Amino acid sequence: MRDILQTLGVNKSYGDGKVRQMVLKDVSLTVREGEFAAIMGPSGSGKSTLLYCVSGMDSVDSGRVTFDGQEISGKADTCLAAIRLSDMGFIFQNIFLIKNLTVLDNVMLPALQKGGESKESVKFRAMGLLRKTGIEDLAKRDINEVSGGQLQRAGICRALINNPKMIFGDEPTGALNTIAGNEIMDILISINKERGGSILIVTHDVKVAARAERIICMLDGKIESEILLGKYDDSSLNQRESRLSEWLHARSV
Amino acid sequence: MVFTMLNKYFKREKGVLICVFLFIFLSALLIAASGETVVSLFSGISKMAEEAKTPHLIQMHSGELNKSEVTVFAEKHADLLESFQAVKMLNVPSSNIYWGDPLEAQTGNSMDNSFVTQNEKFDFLLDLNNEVAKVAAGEIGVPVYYKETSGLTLGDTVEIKSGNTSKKFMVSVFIRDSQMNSSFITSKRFLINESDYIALESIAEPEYLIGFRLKDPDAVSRISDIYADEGMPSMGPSVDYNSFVMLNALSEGMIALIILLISMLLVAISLLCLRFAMIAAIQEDYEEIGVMKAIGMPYKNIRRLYISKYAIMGAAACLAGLVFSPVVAGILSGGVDLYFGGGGSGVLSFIVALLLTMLLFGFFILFCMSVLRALKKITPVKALTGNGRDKKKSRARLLPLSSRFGNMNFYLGFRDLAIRRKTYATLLIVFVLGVFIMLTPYNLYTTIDSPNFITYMGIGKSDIRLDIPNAQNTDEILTAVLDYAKSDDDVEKLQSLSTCRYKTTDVDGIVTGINIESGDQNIFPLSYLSGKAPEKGEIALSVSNSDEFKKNVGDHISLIGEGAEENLTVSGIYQDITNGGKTAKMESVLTEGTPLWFTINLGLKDGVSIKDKLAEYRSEFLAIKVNSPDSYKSQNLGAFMEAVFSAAILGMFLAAIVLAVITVMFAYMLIVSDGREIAAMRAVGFSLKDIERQYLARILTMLALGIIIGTIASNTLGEGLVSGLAGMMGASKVSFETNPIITYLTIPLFLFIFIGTVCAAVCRRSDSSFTVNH
Repeated sequence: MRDILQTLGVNKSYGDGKVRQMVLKDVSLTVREGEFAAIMGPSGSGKSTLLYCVSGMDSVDSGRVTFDGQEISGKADTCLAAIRLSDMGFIFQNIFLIKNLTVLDNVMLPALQKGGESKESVKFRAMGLLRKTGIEDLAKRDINEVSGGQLQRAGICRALINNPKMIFGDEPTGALNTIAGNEIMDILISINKERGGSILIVTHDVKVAARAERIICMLDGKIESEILLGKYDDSSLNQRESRLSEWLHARSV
Repeated sequence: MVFTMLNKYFKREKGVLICVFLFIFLSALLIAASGETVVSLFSGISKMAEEAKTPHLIQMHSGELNKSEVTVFAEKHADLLESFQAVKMLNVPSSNIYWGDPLEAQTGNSMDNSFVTQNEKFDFLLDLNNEVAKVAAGEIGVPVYYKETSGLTLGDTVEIKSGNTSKKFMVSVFIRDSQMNSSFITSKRFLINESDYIALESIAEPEYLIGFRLKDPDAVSRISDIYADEGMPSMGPSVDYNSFVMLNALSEGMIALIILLISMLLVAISLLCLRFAMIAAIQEDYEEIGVMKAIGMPYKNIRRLYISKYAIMGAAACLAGLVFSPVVAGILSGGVDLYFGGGGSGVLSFIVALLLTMLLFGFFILFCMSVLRALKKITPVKALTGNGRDKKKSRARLLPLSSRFGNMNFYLGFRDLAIRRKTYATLLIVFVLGVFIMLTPYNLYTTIDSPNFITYMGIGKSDIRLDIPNAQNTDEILTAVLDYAKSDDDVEKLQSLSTCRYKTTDVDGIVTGINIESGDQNIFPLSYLSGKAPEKGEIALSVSNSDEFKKNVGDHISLIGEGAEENLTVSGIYQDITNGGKTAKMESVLTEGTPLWFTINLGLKDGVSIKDKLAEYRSEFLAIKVNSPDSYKSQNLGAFMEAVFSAAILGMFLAAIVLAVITVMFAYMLIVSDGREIAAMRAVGFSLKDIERQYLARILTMLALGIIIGTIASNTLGEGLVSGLAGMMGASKVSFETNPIITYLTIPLFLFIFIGTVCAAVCRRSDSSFTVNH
């Protein structure tokens, strides 16, 4: 499998003038095509910053970020937006749906913005995704009229509508209860399996991370170590969770 | 604690508070300044009138005067009259008056220029210190009007030449004339020494100014009626004290009035912005307010917390406006100082400015309190459970993306306008008001500047206008001019009009005088507000006369000429701001009475140069005034036009600044409150440019609507407002004559580019807030 995402010596700091805080220090990371990787680590370790830097949502101070064979660090905003639009999907803890659009319109928005497809076809595909995630009946609802779990399902549909090569998730189950969180992860994994895309998520939740093939642990802005759990299947979840917990415990995470 | 919270609020809302502060400051500044100008204007006029002992009533009379007849009249009515005088003025045609370097004949001057000596009892001509002016032999006192319009300075030479006689004077003083100061009055008086006066008598036409001072100034109309009733000399217009005050006030006061209107609109804009900012702040503090209520803080205390910051800011802005207002008032009242010598009424000006500012502040606080009623609706449960907001009936189903038309960014921007129309309504109202401020004073200027404006001056559209005053050899001059014009191949149309004074009865049945211009009124037709030009047995009245006599089209009016009486039907009503607005027109003279003056209007054939023809007639007929209606207008209204132009430029400048600041504030607040949505769009692949375009689409659509509504409002409400003001001068229905290139192209284009640039700059500056991870 080829690498879909590669970072090399990425550094990132925040603040201005004399008070600058290094958030990422010489981070190098690779995600392969079709791989599901999770980043874990304590609060403030730089997990989310790394996710936004590698997805082109934030700039890096130095180092290289390559996505799908092309370097994206330093590219213009319009170019990065175009890449995000066609090849990347995002799922956030706070979901970030647009409040004045219905659930269906939120899902259709990226596809319509991308263009090249009729409105009817986009609607058809969007309805298909809503059906797969079990919220087809809510398509015409206002986003204020549905629950958090249902909103996150809509968020997944929106992330998948343009058939992205990679999905980035920042604590996608962070705002949900355990049952809803598990359901969301199952849906994400099952749909992604059909498509064969890559997933990179940031999470605190061992149950979520245990579904990933590889877990990267970050400490103080650096990749401390990583663990390979292998391909996921439902029957091995408990065993993967225990293994991961032990590994994290050893690192005081 | 309260101080800490206030401090926090100030820091958080710094930008918005600064904007609102600026607007309140600007409003207070302009309101206080225009108040000060009005006070200074009226106290200036009254102080000048006091020093000059302005007559309460004057009657002009051309031709011979039997002084003893007037003396007998004055003695007979000694119970009403304090004093009287009959002064002989020496009228000199403009073509015989020379000034400038080199000396140049003032042929284009359409004023009636007369030369007088200083009066003994009253009606004094004052110098620029408001003291009774004195001139030695060889010296001349020149009206301040010419200091301003012709740039005459002390020491300049004024020469009077007629045939072989010539007399040179040195300008030694500028004259404030409490009667004829205003540019609206077409007569101007020069002050000369007694010995020079005698020398000039041989080359000038005499005209008498019969003036009365009354024991009770309110008895003006009574003495005026008695004067007319007893058939006293009245070959000329009569003007009373109130008309002097009004004409003096109009030329300078109109500008203060326009500024006052602009500042009122500014107040409206400031309050709209404030409302927007306050609601945004309440939304932001929603949970905090809930907590305050939950821990038992009463509504009044929470309101005080909010109102104190606005009160502090409003008080500071009003105070700053009041402090700086004398500077603006100084600029606005430049003309007041020159023409009336300023009011010297610092205390009164300050009190009026203070009262106006306090009124503004009170209004501002009341407005804040009414907006803060929204606090009442917040309950702790609603606020803390998050059920209070964002749960309003959503319009998300409106305009679904599947029915998208056009570009996605434009559609999303347009859609947002439809969904959050209340939010954008504020911006729209501000744009409408801004465009209104930009256009209305400018439209007024282009209307006055337009060649069609003469319609409001009671004259038809001719090419050349010749004014022949009644004098000893009027008949000869009139015949000569008519013969010359009739044989002139370049003249296509010729209209000969004579103005006579008649008597009629007013609504109270009292006999009063009326000047009527007679002649064929169809040669250069007027636009009539109602009705048509008079035929035989008919009369057309100016708006002011129609109001005074309460006569409309179809009504009858009875005229008494010299011995004859005739009943005429009112055929039409027209607008006229000349001669105090009180004029009338007939088809032919009623009797063989002596006309007060003659007017001949010429229409030239196509291709004939008006300029050359004016020069030809001026050199041919030195004793009469030869003008084009345009120059007639500019000499009568020039100073006023300049002032309106300044007000228009000020209006445009202010409006552009206000609109830019509001756009910055609005766009910034919108972007901050839309932070989550913007971040979501960025994440799904919208570029910063896309988002910028969405905001541009929203704000520019509102601007386009604002321009359309503002232009319509200016052309309807603004026109009505101007008509209301002009109605005081005799033009009750002014139709704007716009300059389409400026009004419909340049200004909208400028606004689009200006506001678009401002909005784009705000979007670009806010780029850093467009990410989900901050």
